[in-house]
Amino acid sequence: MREISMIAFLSRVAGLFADIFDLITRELKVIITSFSIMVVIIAGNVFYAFFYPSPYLNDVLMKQKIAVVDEDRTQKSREFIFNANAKTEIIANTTMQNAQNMLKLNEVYGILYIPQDFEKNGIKSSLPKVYYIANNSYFLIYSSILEGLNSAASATSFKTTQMLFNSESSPINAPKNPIQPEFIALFNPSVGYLNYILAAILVFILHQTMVIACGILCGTQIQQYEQYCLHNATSRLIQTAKAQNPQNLRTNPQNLRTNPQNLNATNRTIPSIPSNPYAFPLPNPLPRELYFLSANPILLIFARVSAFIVIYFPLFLFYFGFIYDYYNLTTFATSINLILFGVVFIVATASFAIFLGFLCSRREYVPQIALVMSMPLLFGLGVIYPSQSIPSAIKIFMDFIPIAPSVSGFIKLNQMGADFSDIWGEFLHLFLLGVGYAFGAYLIFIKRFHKGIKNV
Amino acid sequence: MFEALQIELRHFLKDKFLLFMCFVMPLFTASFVYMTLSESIVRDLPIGIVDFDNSQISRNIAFNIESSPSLRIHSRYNSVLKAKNAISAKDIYALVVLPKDLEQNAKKGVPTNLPIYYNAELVFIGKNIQSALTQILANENVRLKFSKNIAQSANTTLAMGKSVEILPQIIALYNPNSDFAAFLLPALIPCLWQLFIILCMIGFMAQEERDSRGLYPNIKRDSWHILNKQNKIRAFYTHLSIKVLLNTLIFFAWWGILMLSFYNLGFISDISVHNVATIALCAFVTILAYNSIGIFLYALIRSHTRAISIAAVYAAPSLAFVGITYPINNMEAFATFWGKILPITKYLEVYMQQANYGLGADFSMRFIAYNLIFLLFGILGILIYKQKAVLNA
Repeated sequence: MREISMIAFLSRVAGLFADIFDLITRELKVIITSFSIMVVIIAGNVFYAFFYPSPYLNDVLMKQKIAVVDEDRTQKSREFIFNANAKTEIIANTTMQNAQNMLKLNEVYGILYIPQDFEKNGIKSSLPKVYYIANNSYFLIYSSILEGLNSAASATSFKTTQMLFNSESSPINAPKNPIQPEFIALFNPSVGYLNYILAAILVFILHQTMVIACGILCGTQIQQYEQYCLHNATSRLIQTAKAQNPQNLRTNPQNLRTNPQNLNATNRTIPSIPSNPYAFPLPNPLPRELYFLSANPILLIFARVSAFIVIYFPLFLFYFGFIYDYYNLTTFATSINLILFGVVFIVATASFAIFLGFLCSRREYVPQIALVMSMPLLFGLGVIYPSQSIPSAIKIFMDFIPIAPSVSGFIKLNQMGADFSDIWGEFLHLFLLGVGYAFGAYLIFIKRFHKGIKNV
Repeated sequence: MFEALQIELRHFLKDKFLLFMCFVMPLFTASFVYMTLSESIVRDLPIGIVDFDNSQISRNIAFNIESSPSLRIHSRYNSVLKAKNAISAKDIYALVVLPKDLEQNAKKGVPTNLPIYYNAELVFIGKNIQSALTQILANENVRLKFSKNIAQSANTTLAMGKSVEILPQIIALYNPNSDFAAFLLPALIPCLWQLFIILCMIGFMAQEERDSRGLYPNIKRDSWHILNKQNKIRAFYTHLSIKVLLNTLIFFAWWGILMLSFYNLGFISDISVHNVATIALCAFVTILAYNSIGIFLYALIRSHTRAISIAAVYAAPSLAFVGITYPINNMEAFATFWGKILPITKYLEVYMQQANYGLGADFSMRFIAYNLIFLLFGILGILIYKQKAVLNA
């Protein structure tokens, strides 16, 4: 008795595995044979990996152009200008009027103004002034100009001249700066843009392409289902009409038209839309592309997530193995940590994408939403813009999108050399999101295909 | 003409998703980024301190860090090793190590190195921390030198002059407070705007395609409305121009709302009428340019989904290429080229010239004329579209 139930149980389990395996292969087949989806997955990921970083390839900023207005015209002012030229590119020494015009035409981004009596004040020890005028519409240029001019100022010293004039102090007494700050840049030694932007963007690209691909897949299936229901309903209407009155069909097609709006449709062989196409039971067996109706929804979602793991895992390895190296991004993470986190990232994102895909009724919807939301999401991540300054409403919204914990986790692992224990929170967060969205996708699936499933 | 307008309007109002993309999503995305960046001056970045000196100077530095608006002491550590994990976990963004004998050396006049470890991965935060700490330590230096000099000379002005070397006066033009929102939003929101223009133009075009070629050919809806009852092309140009007109009107209205809100937020201060008129002209041409590219892409590809994918590649990452966040003169040839084929780059240049610098309209005409080139794509797209429509019929 027990043996029989054991065998029955085992055969059921084996059947389940066979079902799952069958579903996964079907999913993969559908994905791989769809041109639109493959364009997004392959071309999108590979192309974007090289396309998006292209502005940032010169990792560190080059010298920025400034103009100089020197009204002092002394040795000290020239020394200052010489020092300034080391870190900025001085392209003109002119009048204030000219320099301002150049600034407005974006020929220069900053002006170094040295007023009269600069040297005199320096020697007299009465606070020599200089003016840095810079265009703050471009943050990066602005800070690079300011940095350059500040280092020029600290390199220009009045010490020796002062000593010549006021013979009171000897070089030993000359006060040096007692505290010398020494900034040590961690994780991104060049303080470059590649590590800053790209580490987040690459994960973001994987996330967005997955959402778009899955959105197209689910949307296509919903449209196929609806069209099939419609087709089924119309052909049934034709059949019943034929059965009732075979002659009538040719002579008076109006009989078929339940929807009065379409009375003026032209082609006789094409009947118009039935008022409720879902009221007609679908025939069994279903056409091949509607395989998802006959599957258990839970298994279907599981299979779809697995199919995305199969497709995205190599891409994930390509990104984190090859692309990170290609752009010289720091990679501190150990491979086992990275792969563990990567799998949960793909699971959570795929579940989210399926949820979104079944929520939207057409294949064009998810790609458009994903596209217009990509910039807002990117700034909401708290990487490019500090998370301290992001209001909590946005943070709560971001917590429901798998990209936020993923980017945070990957950056901690890969860029900051954190242990797995440090990203345990992100891992759990992603896992919960994955489970939650899979369940949400299940509910929507049941609701959307309710009539189809019942009628099969 | 009037009939065509009615048909187009009916289809537009029936297309819920297009309405959503035209009216709801622009508002939502723009307010989302505005909210994200609204607290636009960075405050209270958590940093850690290791104090090996425990002297008056070290306590003074810690006090100054705590009272700085952009920094906040998250915690104090006994050793650098203990703080390391806090940096990795992003609990703190920087670690200031106050070495032993800091005060003693300062009194003796021996310079002491003060190591500051900061998280440079987050460049924006890193730069903020760096400038805040530089300022705090420079002030501390002046204080220490001053206390020494005042003892020697007993003359405040002289002592001050000796303590400070050069006093730079920094004048930040066009964005005096280094307000992040004022820096980014004028570039970011137009980049969103152009994405919406191109997507909605494709959406308007693709209304023709909807369900006309399904898997099951015995279903047909009355959607191919450029074709008349005899399956002939009718009023092709009228329908197309109404689509363009609708899209242009909607996004021109959005542009107006955008400018008004920028004005209310104080991103645009004194601006004269002719400046606004120049920007308006440029915005109009830019909308037409994106409409043209949308028509061209859709005519070429003839599939809503794929046209969107291509438009995405073209327009979605534009913020990186327009040169506001990252200077164009630092980009390589390909990125510069990509920036050039996006009309929004020229729009933003005109916007900067007119709204920030207050230049005359004649400076901007060159850029507006440049964007007119993109209209050629529209003409080409219409020709291709008509050709294909004939073939299809």
